[in-house]
Amino acid sequence: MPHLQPMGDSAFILRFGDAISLEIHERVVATLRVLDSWRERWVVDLVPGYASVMVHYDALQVDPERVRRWLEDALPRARPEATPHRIIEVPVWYHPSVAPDLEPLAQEKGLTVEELVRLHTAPEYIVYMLGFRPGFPFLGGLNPRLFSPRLATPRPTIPAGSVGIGGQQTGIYPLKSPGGWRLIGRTPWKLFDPGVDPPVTLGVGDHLRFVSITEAQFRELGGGVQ
Amino acid sequence: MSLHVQKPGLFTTIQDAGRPGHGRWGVSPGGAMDPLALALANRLVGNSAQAAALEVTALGPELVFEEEATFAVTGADLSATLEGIRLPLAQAHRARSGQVLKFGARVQGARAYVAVAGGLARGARPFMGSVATDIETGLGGLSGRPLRAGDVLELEPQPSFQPRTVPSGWERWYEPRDVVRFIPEEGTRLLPEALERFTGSRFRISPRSNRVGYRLEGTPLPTESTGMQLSEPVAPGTLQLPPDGNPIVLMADRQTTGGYPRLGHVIRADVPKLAQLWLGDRVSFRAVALEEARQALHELQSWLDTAVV
Repeated sequence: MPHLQPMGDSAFILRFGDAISLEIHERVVATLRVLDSWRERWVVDLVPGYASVMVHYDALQVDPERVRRWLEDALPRARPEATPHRIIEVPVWYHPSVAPDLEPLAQEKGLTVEELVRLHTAPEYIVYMLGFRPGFPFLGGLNPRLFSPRLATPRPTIPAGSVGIGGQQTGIYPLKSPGGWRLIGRTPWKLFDPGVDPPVTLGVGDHLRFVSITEAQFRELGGGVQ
Repeated sequence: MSLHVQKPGLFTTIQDAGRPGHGRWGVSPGGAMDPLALALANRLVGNSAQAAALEVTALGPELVFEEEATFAVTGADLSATLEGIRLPLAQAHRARSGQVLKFGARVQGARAYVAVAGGLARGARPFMGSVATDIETGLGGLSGRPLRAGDVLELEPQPSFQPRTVPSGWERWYEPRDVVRFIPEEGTRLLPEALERFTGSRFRISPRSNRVGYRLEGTPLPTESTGMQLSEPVAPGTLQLPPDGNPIVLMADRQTTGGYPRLGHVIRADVPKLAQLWLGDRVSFRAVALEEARQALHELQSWLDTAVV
């Protein structure tokens, strides 16, 4: 059983551990699914983290003890082993014209651009969590050879679709936003579209691979170069 | 039917009750910083408590009513006038076609809410079920931005006018203005003296505060914490302690997750009070138990349910 703790007067947090690990992540996803299927009207939101799930409730409609009992009933039904996941192939154009840090980063690492792209497209990444901005996936599985500190001064504006590396993580900026990650490519995909249900292309629990595409493919898929 | 923006004010946005429920997609709940003032303004003009209104920050706009309309101003006292005549807060007023609503000096509070009968967000673009303006993503409201001179807010046809007022006493939910209640975090990774020093300190709202969060300036708190903190979801009113020792309290446009250790959470009943603190205002935090927080919230709600007559 995860550790259950109140967070203020309108939320509980369930903590499954203290590490970024596949095993914990699968428990998070399985728990989220059970709580979704058992959802009560006073549940305001269910939000997963790397190793936690937050349950926001409407304190005007329900008391915390009732929420606690609901959680204690539902939690044992989570079945991590039976939680399937999708594998999504995300197209990325790795090119200096859309990725200002691609060549400098390869140089820093003593790699050619091709080698860096190979290292970035090899793993199957996991979407552990979305945060920072709508649809921004925090991905686990980056090759340690590509770990890179964030920029000392974040860029004020990064184009939507930018693929970057920040510390031990890699991710994609779904919307134009400020950001300090090192940019190595761009996807033509729209990762967040509030007019679609669900509004995100990549959700918590999805697995993904990056696939290197050419400029022609990038444009064909609707990519623009700003 | 429209409201014409002659001057936009410092930072005026369309806000409603926000879009809670989409945290797993990374979508912030957003919405009015002071949900109580929003609900009151709406009730006064006969709207649902969650309807869209204007959130006016410190320096108000100049708005021209192109048609006759019923409206109300609540929250901060920013010296609202209609055709030069000072308007009492928390009361429904009738504006005639061509009349100008202006604001003057900030007397008390930070954010006023202007609600118009029927709503004023016909021309606003909703996303995820809310027209609340989200500056961070540029979505909602008028292309996700504050009002500009020349903007026109579409109004709904005006129902007949029934003057409503709030019985005196709405101010009590904001008093004392400089003490905010919070529930300390159980098992926080911060050292116990961080929490002791936090509750014993007075802070100033830093000029680097906004709708995402308030930075609190004072004597920096000790930030050593035990163990690593993974990013995890945050709750409304979460009090974070970044490495510089100056706490941050998360507000309406907060991100959905955060990695800093936490001191606790501001209680929901005191969020309106917090929203009415302005840059440079002083504040201290009093620790309360969950039971007091719940009682305060229920009292506030039952007052609101019966307040507007």
